[in-house]
Amino acid sequence: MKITVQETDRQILAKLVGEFDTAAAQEMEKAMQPLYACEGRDIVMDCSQLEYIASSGLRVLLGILKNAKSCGSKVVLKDVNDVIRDVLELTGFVSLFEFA
Amino acid sequence: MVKWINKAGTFLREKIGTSLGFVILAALLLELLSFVQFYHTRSLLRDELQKRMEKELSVKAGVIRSSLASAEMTMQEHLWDMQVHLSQPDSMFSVTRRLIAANPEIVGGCMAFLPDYYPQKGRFFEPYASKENGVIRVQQLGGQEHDYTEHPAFREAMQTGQPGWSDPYLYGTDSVSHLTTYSYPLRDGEDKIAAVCGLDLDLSWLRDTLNANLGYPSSFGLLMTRSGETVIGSDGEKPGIRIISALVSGRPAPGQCLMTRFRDPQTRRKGSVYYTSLSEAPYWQVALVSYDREVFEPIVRMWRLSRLLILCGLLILFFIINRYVRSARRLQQARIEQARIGSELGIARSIQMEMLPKPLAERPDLDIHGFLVPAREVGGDLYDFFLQDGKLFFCIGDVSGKGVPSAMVMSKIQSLFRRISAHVSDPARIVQVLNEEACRGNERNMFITFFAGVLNLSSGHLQYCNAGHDRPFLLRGKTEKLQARPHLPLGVFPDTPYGVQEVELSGPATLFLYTDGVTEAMNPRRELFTDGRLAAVLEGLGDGLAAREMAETVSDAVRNFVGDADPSDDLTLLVIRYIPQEGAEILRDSIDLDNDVRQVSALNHFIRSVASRMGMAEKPARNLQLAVEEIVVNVMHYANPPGETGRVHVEATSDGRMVRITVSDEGVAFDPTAVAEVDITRSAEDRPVGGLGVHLARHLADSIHYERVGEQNVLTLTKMIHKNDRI
Repeated sequence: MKITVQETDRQILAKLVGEFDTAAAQEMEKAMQPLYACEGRDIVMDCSQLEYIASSGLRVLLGILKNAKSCGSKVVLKDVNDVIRDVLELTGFVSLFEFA
Repeated sequence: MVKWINKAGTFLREKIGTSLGFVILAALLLELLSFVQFYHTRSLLRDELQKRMEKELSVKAGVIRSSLASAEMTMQEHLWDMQVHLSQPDSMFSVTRRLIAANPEIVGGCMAFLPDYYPQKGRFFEPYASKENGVIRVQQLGGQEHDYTEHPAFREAMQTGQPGWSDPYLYGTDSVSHLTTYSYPLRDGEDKIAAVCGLDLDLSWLRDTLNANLGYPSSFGLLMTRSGETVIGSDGEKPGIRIISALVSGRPAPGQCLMTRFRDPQTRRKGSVYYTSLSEAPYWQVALVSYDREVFEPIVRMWRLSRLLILCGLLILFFIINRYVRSARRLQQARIEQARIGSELGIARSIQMEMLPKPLAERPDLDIHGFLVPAREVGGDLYDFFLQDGKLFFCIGDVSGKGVPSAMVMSKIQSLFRRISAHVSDPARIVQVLNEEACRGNERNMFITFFAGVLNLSSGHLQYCNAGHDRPFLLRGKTEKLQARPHLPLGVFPDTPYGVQEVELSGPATLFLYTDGVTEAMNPRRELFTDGRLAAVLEGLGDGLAAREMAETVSDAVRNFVGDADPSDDLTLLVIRYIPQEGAEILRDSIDLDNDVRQVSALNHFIRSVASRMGMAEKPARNLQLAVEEIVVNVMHYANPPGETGRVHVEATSDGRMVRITVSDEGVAFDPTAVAEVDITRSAEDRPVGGLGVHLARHLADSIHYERVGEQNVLTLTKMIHKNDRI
């Protein structure tokens, strides 16, 4: 899995590519650090090339979301595919995130 | 005005009630009827009175007249005697004596000669005879001190030359005896008047005669002169005499009977006076008086009595109607209340029915059908079944008693069963927890016979625990009862130990569970259906019947047996047909992993290759991948203590219809399926970190089954490959 982060003054754009499995979740912790410094900026995750997500991946997203909420930011998931959307629905995560 | 009347009507209806209105109406009608009757009777009575009075009047007038006529006759009979002796003045004394002796009613007689008729006897000569105590005394009355020529009777006889009767007058010292005098001008040979003869007729009998036969104590008779002066009957005490005299005076033609109404101004009494006059001279009037009060007293009294009786009758009627109306109202209220309870029970019944499990989605290895008919609106029987991790959880139970109390216990047990079995898959443990709950606050000592089972659909392994329930039938080739130890029912002692029993279902088998409503169903002859009959029905079932058909066959048999008898207990059936599916294995592959989550990528690669070899499309392949990854990661986390290394063996097999993934490791015993369901409705801040993985695996796989085999944890996960799952 790969992640690229682009920061502007108003938002942080993170592009997720590949499979977000348990191993990836462990490896990505460092790459995800910029997303914890949102400082009021909204976080937009481009999921157009994210193929798969496991519960550990969801847990990483939940950590980002909790942090973002505490500093008043929104987390928007963009272009989620059907497989991932089903997982989000099964776990009730659809009600936690915003979608674009 | 109309508004006021309407208001009054409404008030009466509301406050006093229709029954009183009805009674008042009846009272008015009866009152009217009794008045008409009274009025009619009164006029009949008046007619009767009139007839009687007319008759009495004519009788009394006749008596008076005949008395007068007898005196006139006496005078006629002695005319010759007197005329013959006219020339002998002294013989006149004996003539007078003979005259009064002839008629007992005549008390005195005189011959008043014209002045100087007998010169030798002086100017006034009047021989007079009178009766006193039956002795006749004769004397000469005329003289200077007694100038009879001035007497009105003498003068009238002289003037008219005709005989006549004087008006009755009082006589004697007692002033109560009346006399009347008949004056007759006596003529001599030359037809000149020589003397006026008088006969005094005693009328003392007349008062009694007048008052006789009147029939009423206050009624009385009167004799009046032509001028209307009351002479007899008037003693001054009788009220209204003067009025009556004025009314009657000079009115009647002789022989006619007339009637006049009057009202006494002093006593205000009303009355009738009937009167007539003598048919000949002296034309005295006879009147009879009656007072309404006395005449109509009996019927007035009767009328009052009848009104009193009517009133009493109506009062009794009112009370009866009132009681009837009240009890009818009570009955109606009871009926409304009953309907309300009935509708609430109906709702309770539908709630209870909704608690029963819905049919499962059709699948080749399982056919299950439940059937529950409460004896009353709601019942104490229950059954439940659901699939979880490739296992069928099922139960059947019977709460002691019937109706609402049992139904409430039933619903409590049923929901507890679901909650407990969500994370406990050992039926004995489930029953134990249920028993502890059932014993808590069980003041009414209600107990529940209960049977719980867990069937592993992939292995055919059946675990069960029986808490005092009828043993189910197990049909596999032959019909026999499942071997089940009869533990105490739920709700007896909280610390009752419950043990689990097991049986392997290697081939197709049917489990038939029932409550005693089946075996103890009673026909009209009070015979029980019994286990024997049930076994016979089950043995008679053909092969290949669906669970629903089996349940219906049994319930029809019970219904036919019971016939018209009332259902004595709730009737519940649960039929579980298990048909293990064995297909030819077309794939077998495996991978060994270290106990390290970084190896998950290799695992995913392996699963993706299995899915691709089975021709699975992207989405089911990803779902299988996710389910396996979550289970394996779980095992990696918990099976080995941190720092210790271990191995995880993952094997995949498939018969083309499903993929079976077996995950085995040699770590400490750990059952990931025992983890409770997570609450996916919580907000981000409240979300716990764990639990999501097992949750996902459960929902994405068709079954997950954990077993500790020897020193190994063995997790079996199956995923069906449906037609539309293929590429």
